[in-house]
Amino acid sequence: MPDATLLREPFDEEIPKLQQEAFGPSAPVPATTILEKLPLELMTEILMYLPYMEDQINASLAYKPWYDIIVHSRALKRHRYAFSVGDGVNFHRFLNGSWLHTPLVCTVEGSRITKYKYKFRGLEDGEYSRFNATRKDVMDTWILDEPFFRLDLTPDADGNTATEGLPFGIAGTYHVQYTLMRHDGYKTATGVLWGQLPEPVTEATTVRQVVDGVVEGCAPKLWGLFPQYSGVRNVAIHIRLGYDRHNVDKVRKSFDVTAMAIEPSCWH
Amino acid sequence: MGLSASRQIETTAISGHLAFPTTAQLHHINLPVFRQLSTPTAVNMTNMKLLSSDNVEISVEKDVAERSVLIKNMLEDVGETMDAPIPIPNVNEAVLRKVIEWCEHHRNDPPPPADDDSDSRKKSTDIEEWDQKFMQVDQEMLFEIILAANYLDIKPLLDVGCKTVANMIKGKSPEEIRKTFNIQNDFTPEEEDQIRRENEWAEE
Repeated sequence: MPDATLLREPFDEEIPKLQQEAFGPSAPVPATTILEKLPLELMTEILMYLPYMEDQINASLAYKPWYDIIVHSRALKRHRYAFSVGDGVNFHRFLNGSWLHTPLVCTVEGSRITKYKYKFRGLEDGEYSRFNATRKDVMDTWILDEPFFRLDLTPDADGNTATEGLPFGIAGTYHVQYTLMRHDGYKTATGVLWGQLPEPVTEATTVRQVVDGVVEGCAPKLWGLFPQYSGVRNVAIHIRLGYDRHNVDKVRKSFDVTAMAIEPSCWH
Repeated sequence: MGLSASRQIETTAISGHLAFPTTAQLHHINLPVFRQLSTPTAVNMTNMKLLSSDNVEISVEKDVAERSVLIKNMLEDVGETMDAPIPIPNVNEAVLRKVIEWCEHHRNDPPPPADDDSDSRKKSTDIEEWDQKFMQVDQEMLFEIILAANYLDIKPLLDVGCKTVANMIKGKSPEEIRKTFNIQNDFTPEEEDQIRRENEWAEE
């Protein structure tokens, strides 16, 4: 007579025992259970070894406790604000690019951004490489809703912080260098645009708000300037924002914030 | 000079007149393995016992056990005359043996820098070859080693464990990460819906 237990589906509580019988002492254990064993500080310690934006975004989307750590941990946040312009002001690395390396590409319809694509570098022999990078849409991710800059409030030897007691804002001007490119990548025109941000940039202003503001301001001007370029595939724009710590009506320092391309999917 | 001093020690040890070098001799030796000796009785060779959570006594050389700051402090507190096994209630035999194996291999490593919060330490996920092989264990053991290293306060082992896990995350999509760690999706339906949209990557 066959064993009755073999004729039915095993109960949940029997599964570990059956796994043990099938696989021996190294029977697979659900990893979620294993991960749950780790206290938050150890999970944070592990995630601290992921300084790159790509890994932080992907890990945050894979496991909720990691999301909470990555988004809220001060130490991990510091990694994302490593783009310093001095005076204790650190800008979000998400926008830190150069004219040649474009991490962020926006698709613009009219004057509205409909896609934010970030260049996720691929791994090559365990190291990041720009050669097998892919652009992924980060339109709905938390990363765009982080503040555009943060102040480093580390006190100096006298206990004062770099920005303590001072009003801080970024002058509302932007300086955009643009390059129009055809489908074949041939540059057809380059130039410079100046504009005014709709709102002053403060500590509460997000990355998304700043980029949206710049694009809203400059895209219609660009489209207006080049109606004849119907074959133009994209416009690369390089934004420079005026930086003014003391909120005085004067650009004290200007810096490259980002390089981004606009793909006018519906040009009118 | 260091070489001749070590030769002298070798000779005297072989001839049986003196089993261990004197402090004066040690001061003339440049070899790092000898530099760590602090007394002529060479306490490094002293054995001691650890008691795992599953009540197994494991004999280990004192200097190997002292890679654990917890054990080192404990021994200093009791005046280094502990004959009874030291209980390690949070670590079972298999994990403890693995940790001891790591400590034995790294017994002569210099102590880790005091500034262990340094961000530069976190930037590199490079792991030396021996440690990479050492960490080729199933995930349960890997996480148990991390927990044990944390409990026993063995910073370099904790770093290797954390780097190993970080390397398993590096360069992977959220779905690949979930698969690697067998993570069940613990996001709410609303969050999941948002993630699904986020994962509809438009690749170029």
